Amino acid sequence: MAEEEKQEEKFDFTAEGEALGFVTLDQARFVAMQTAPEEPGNYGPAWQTVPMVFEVINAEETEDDYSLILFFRPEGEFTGTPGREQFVFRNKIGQVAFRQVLNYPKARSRWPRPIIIAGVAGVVGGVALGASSLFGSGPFGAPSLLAPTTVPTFNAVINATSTPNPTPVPTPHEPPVVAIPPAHTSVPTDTPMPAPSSVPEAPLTGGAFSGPSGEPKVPFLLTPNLSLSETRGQPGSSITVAGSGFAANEKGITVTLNHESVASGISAGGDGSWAASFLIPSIPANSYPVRASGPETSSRSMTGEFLTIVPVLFISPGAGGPGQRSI
Amino acid sequence: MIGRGFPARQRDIVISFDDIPAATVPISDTTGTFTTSLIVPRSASGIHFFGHSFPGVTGGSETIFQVTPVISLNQTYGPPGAEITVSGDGFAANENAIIVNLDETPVATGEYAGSNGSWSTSFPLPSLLAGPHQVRASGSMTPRGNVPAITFTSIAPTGR
Repeated sequence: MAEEEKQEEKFDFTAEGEALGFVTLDQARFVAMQTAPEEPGNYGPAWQTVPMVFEVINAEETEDDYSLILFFRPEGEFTGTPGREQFVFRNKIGQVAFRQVLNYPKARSRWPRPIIIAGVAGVVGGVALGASSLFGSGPFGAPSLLAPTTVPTFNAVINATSTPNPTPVPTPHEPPVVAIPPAHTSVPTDTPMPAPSSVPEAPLTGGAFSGPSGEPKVPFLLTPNLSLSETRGQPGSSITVAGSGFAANEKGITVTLNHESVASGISAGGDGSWAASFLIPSIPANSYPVRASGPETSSRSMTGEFLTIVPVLFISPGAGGPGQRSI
Repeated sequence: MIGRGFPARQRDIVISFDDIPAATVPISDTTGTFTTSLIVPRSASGIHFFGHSFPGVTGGSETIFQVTPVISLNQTYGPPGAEITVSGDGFAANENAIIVNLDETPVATGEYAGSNGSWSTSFPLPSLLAGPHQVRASGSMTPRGNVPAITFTSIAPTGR
């Protein structure tokens, strides 16, 4: 029966129509799935460089057009809400007339247990499946046996090839539980992922990149990162600190300079990034560490920055006549 | 003048004015801070720079300071006939046509400033009503309003 419907749909258009570029809804679905990874949409600064996987979650046919909604999310493990992107095929021509990102993916948790397990699997190269039992079965359960800061960071290699049969995308309330692959399984190749430090403003999350059909997974970890507007400054001058890779919407972030708080109560955005400014306090000339931490992000899990204090003279008033003992 | 961000307990911090040493701070405190005061060196009007250095380190940041014109008197009161000396500093380098006024009356004209913006002239105090009077100065490049006036008090001549 389904086969018959497919046949009917396939012959909706005449040879003349096909010559004009008309496509069926199935063909439009294929074009959308093919176009999406080849020409990524505007997924925002946090996701623009992250390879995505796509799944058609809605396909509608109107009298003139096709409208498809695709879920998109980072390849491999992703514990959050997928983004949605709409593709419209005007007049049922086999070209995407326009597309728009309806919403971005939202990361859900920094340390989903499967990532930690996958990390162990990748490093130990052995008993990944067995290791999962050490941590329970749910992705957000009891504290892990491994501290997050002990998880090694990887440059992952992934299979970026799209597929007409993608892995089902979880609903926002059902984060996926990653199947831990046998450690001896070879890692698919193709597109090298950028090093974590080069991934712009992605929320801190872990993952196991994989091919979309349950192929072996390679663990990765985005570490939080800080950057300073200036690496040298004088007491009294303003420095802006930008953080990225923190937990999405993390609140209560504190910045320290030489272990003393200089800015607090900072909140990260949905992409895990934030910025704050502080005035350099009056401290002796030296190079001091700048760190940041929050309830969900340890300062030990990041590479801190250093701020070098340089001397300055403050003269008040800043103008006067010679011979006046005014300064 | 306050210094911050210097090494803790740094000795012999030299404050310079246009690269010429102007003062020495014996030592900074444990936070690298010190407070000192100094007299602005004679210099022409305009932007100048205070710098700092200490043993082993030179060429740090500089702080801008604007020199403005001022006048001073060798005495601020006296009887008519007294010889009053007026000195100007912070005028433009080599400025000419400098005029000194006692209230609205010119008492010295045609003075010239040196390359450091300084000049000096004297005049006999004319007969005035006893009481305060304003001494002002201006020049070809320095409007009168830019120079703070100084009060001179004329006193009655001592009787004979």
